[in-house]
Amino acid sequence: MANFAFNINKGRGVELYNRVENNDPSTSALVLVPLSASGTEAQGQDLDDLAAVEADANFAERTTGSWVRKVLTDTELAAFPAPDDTNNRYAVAVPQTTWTTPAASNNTTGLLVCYDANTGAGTDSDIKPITHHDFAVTTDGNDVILNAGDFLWAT
Amino acid sequence: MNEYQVYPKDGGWHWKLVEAREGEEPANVVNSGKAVDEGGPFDEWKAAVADARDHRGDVREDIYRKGENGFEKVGVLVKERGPERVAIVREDGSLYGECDSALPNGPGQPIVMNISPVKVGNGAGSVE
Repeated sequence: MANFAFNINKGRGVELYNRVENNDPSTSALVLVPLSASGTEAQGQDLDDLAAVEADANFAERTTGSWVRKVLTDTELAAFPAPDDTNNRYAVAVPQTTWTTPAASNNTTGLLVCYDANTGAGTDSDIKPITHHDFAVTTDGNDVILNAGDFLWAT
Repeated sequence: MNEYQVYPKDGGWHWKLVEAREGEEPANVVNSGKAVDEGGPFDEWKAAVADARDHRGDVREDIYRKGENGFEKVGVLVKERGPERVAIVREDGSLYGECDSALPNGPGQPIVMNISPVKVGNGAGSVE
């Protein structure tokens, strides 16, 4: 497992965040996808959409135990930030996100941050992964809270 | 699949969460705590238990106790999100015991996670 960016959205992640935040289009959103299996960067970075990730034997979405995808629209996302001129990078963040009481023994390995241009239609082929993050949760029935924090630094 | 076991100790009830392996008896103790014996201040829990039995979503885990014939189910574990307590309820709805100790991260206490940012680019001054 590793934190890595998918090739398909390298160089685009910050602007995709900006587009979601500005409702361009209004149906766009970032989508958090919990995984029950995560491959390596080498195994994952060439996968160009969520359907390809799902089809890859090294990756698997966690859909049991009340784990669900989280759709983050402009409502959930923080305002598009200014560039970080101190650290010379552009950072974009996910908001605090809660999964309610995932059942025990429904653990996760990773978390995808994806871009979906049209949350009202389409398939997993239309959802483009931006980043994969280590997200190893050993569930015990309590809520799982992802703290707000940067998921991408463009340098 | 982890299992909760409840057993008498020091005049009260203790529980422990053990790591179960398929086809084997539960082995490694993940966490444990003291449960309060019946006769304690259970009134509030009776309401919680009744509520839990009406809303099965509040019932989380089966409780097992090691007896002469191996592990036997004694009830279900009921967690309440507010008070940091858990109750153990028999199948008939009566209260078996109340745990005042925490589950691995405390009953009702969320698992808090962070993710690390992914750096894209090769700019000077970037920090990983």
